[in-house]
Amino acid sequence: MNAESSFSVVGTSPPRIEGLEKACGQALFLEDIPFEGAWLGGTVRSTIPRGKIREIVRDPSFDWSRVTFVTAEDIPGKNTVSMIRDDYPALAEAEVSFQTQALALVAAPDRKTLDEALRGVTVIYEETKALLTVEESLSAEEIIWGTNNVIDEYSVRSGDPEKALREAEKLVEGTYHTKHQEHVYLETQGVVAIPRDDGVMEVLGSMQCPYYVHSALVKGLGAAPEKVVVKQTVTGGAFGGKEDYPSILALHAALLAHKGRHPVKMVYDRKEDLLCSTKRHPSVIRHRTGVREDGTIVAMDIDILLDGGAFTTMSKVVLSRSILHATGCYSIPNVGIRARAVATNTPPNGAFRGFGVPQSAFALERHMDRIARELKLDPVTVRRKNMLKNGDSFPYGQVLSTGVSAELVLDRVLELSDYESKRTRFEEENRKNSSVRKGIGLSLGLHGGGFTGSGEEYIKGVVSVRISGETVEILVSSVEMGQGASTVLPMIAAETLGLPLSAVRHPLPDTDVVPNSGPTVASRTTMYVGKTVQDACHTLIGNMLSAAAKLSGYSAASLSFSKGVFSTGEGRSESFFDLAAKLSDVPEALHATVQYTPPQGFSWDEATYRGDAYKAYAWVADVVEVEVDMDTYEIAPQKAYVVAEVGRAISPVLAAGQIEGGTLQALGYAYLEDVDLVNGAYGCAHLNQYLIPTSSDTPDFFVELAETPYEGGPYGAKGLGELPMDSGAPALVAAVEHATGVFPEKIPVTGEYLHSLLSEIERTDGE
Amino acid sequence: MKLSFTVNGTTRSLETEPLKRLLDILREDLKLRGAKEGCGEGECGACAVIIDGELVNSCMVPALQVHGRNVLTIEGLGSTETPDSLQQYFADEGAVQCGFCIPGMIMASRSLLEADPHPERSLIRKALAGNLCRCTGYEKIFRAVEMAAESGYGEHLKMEYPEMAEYVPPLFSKDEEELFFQPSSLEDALRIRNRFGGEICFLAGGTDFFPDLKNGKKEYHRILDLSRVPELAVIERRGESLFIGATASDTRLVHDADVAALFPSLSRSAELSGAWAVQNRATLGGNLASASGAADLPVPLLVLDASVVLRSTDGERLVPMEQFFTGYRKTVLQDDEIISGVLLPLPKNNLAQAFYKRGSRAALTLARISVACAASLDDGRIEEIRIAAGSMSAFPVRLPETEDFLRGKRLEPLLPGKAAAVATNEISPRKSGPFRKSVTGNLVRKFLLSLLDCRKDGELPGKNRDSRK
Repeated sequence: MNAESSFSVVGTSPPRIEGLEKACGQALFLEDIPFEGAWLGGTVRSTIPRGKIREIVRDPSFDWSRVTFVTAEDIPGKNTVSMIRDDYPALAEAEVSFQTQALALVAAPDRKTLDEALRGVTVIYEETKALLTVEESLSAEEIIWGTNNVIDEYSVRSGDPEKALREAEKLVEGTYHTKHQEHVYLETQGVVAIPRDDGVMEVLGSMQCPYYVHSALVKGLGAAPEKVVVKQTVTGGAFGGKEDYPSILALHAALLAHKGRHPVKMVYDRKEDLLCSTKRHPSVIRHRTGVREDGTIVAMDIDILLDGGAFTTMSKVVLSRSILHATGCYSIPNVGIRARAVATNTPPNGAFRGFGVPQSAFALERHMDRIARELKLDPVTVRRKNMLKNGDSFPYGQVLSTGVSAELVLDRVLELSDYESKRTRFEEENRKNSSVRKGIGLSLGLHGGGFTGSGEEYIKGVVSVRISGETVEILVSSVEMGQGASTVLPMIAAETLGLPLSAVRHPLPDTDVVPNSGPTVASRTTMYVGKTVQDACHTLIGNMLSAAAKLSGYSAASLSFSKGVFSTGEGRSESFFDLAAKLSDVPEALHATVQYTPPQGFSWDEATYRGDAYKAYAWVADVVEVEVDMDTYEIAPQKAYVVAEVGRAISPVLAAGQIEGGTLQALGYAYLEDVDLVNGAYGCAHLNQYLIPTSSDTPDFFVELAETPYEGGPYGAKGLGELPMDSGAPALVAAVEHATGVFPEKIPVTGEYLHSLLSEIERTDGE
Repeated sequence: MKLSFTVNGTTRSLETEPLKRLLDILREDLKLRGAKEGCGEGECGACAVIIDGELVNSCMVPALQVHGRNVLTIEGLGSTETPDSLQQYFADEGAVQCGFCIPGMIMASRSLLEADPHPERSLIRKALAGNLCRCTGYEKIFRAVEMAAESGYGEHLKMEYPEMAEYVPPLFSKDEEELFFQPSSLEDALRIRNRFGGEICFLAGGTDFFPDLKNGKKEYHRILDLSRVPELAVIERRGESLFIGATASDTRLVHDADVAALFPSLSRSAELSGAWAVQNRATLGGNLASASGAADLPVPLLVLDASVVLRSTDGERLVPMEQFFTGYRKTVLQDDEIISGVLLPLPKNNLAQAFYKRGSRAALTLARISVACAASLDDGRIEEIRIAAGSMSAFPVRLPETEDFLRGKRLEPLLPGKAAAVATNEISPRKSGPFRKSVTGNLVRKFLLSLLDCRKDGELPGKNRDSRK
């Protein structure tokens, strides 16, 4: 950490603003808020993966006037949950495309009536052949999406990869698999839709993107934008799982509320959440790499396949990120990458922290280890030989003249973890101990902050700041979901305004009140929204200076502002809030609304898919130590060393918390979290089936933050929320490889898989 | 039912249903919304509260069993105006991110610090294993607990639990009287069981009952709550045996001096079951009656020559553990019987024991493979050996072929490997066969290796490492 900063607030670690409230159990999550007269909503779901709906039959012995019943016919607007494409129906009409797809909705005054009504609905299907795997889908024997089942496709190319591969000294090939991953936010999905007397549909809920929900409601209800209001409630975890899914749930609740004219609450219990909500895209990634004997990579050919599920949702952008991060922290002269997201008759996959990068990075980092293994070099050597440095470029053309920290984080993590000597020491210890083996593994990663390419220019996020009494409010649509936005954004504003943190607040977003600063995703909130908050604060100061000049008769030029105090040239001064009080008759002086200003010097061509994909990258290196019980094939992570270069840690404690939490999610992804599909439906309905790490599974964490400030970010900050998710899994698997000698190429590394790899070694040793 | 209990020191009385969950009573009736529903099945800890000093998941505690007790919730620790220092440490150390797990996590931390004011990190990890957090990676939660411990938090806890008046059973409504029973003696319990037979659904710790109810696997007609029957709660020597009552909790199996000293394999299986909040409620009788193939306690009971004691109004019968289960989720329990407990013959001095559980993660997990072993040695020869395996068949079973192979053999370096091969062949799980067979063989080998090792240093394996001391 740099000591050079002379900031008052930035770089300190004040307690999270809402932390004590949460620790006292006083924070109001959705289910903690009483909604008088609210009915409960439930969903009739498909039990087949593909087919036609012949009829939805309602049991005549049930009195249907006691409930609200909604099908696609009742949708006043477009039958779509608006996301990137409008291919996802809110309610299935004639066709079913995946198991658990919503077919109809019911709202009832109480749980008992709701359950009775749901039991009284029978759906008659005509089942057709479903495509349940990516392979089946690519064979295109049935067409379930578009013309060839490929939802999106990208390619990236530099140099002449075919020639370089042909001429390479050696070829190393490998195919890597990752599976679905479920977010398991502790607070399940939930919304309430209230049809107000003034004709406005008000929706509150646990979400990351109030304006995404707003757009989906406008489209689905066919309503004018001002007739829809969306308010975020305190959100108990999200990790991407509440980026796209709440739009579906909100529209469902709103359709019931719209028809029944009662408020409707829809909260999933854990089972419904596990079975129906979005998951991470499974991947199959094939690497063909041309190398020299000394470990230098001369060419990479990469094929990425993502399973998108039945509809687009976020596949286009997950795919985009996966291809743009596919060569990771390495400078490769000749690259050919093809990436496809393919439709299957399974529940549509969605956003999950990392968003395509954990998949790419797993394949890449494992492949670097494979190259090391086949060339009999050590994994650090192979990485150093090909490391990105300032002045290098990415395959899609972006030249990184500054800000490359790959070597920095690698060097530091090796030092911090004592990697080299442990590598040798564990091997020695393992020779003596056959029942518990120790391993240490390394990985590198990076993550581009903000939306890809010209995404931020497309969003044009807007931020308002306003003075309300003795408080400055930050009005943005960005949400607090545990990551610390409600503390970090005020810290940035407090620093800029020279105010104490206690004077700045970030209220829960309400689309009636806050402008659209964009969704809380893509590691953009600190880096982009925070920057715009900073700009808005400067504008606010400017507004106050102008107004003060008019009021006081001083010229604007003779007034100045520094560290929370306005001064004249002659020694008179006024504190921020004292001046604000004096300007109470000049309301335009007391707020500022600013739109995101793109920094100079970046360009991206969406058509050719080349240029500056991201304005800044954060870098990470992980070293993970494991113990493997050779009797039970259990993997026990012992220590995780993570060095992350993040530009500027606005709050080091919050930043470290993100690194620790994200790393543990990545470790869970690597060896614990496992779900298989049965006839296209998730096989995990309980938290004792889908397992996330407990406190007994977590390693000791040693996190270090490094800072190479990015001038376009607020006080130099870059995005970091997703970064740790990218590198944890390959580091753990590398450690397992080191401990056992086997080479896992898919995750999760379950006991069965590890056992099968070890059995193979035994078998081949015996031959 | 008229429920009367104390919450955070204040007596509350209300009309409610006997099976209404404490979680719902707190949130809906008392407007105490700190405890959260994260899963409703005891798998996440977000609903954790403390009842009479014990951490429990309130989603699995019915009104009937809260009656007359003292409940402590997050609101009872403090509020933002006057926070408890533990709450303050959580807030200050960065242990709070989204906040949803936090009330339960703080109650679990509180419970730990009450029991051990200066826990090692390894103990903190165990104590909090029943509380899932997805945001923090737990690191700063550990830090907050350690800081509180350092400040002496656990030493200065005010007594939250008022003096217990003598227990008065709840008043049931007319409709409830024939449907809910909370007898205070075994005799009364037997009489009710005899009268209603198969209509009776037993309730003890509720840790299977409530998840089964939630998942539509259980319907009930009449509830017989055994939690207030003292004869079922005893752990006592009876002649040359130890009797463990059916309502003894996992926690008691871990801590009871006799169980820990004489039957460390049984203590260990209780210790590895669920997490502390579940162990405080889950009972021996419940584990036997559920007859799950993955049940933890029956596995060591099989190698300890246990007999299940069944009582009816006619008397008592003993069923050897091996004969208790008859099929998947089926036992020999008759409609007029209650499981009274198990009887374990006191082991001879030279009985070595072990229990191994291979779940899917380090804690709060069902066993995928479990193995229990008990062996007595006579001058380097295996005099008697029993091996049982769980989670690989309809119900836990002994491994007679492996036992026969080992019985009478000299304990020598090649024996463990040979026995492992026999065990690997003997067990035949339907799913994940090669993996589970291999682990079973490895664990048998592990036990035998430990016998070989202890011949060197003289200490028998299976000594219970009491994790809460």
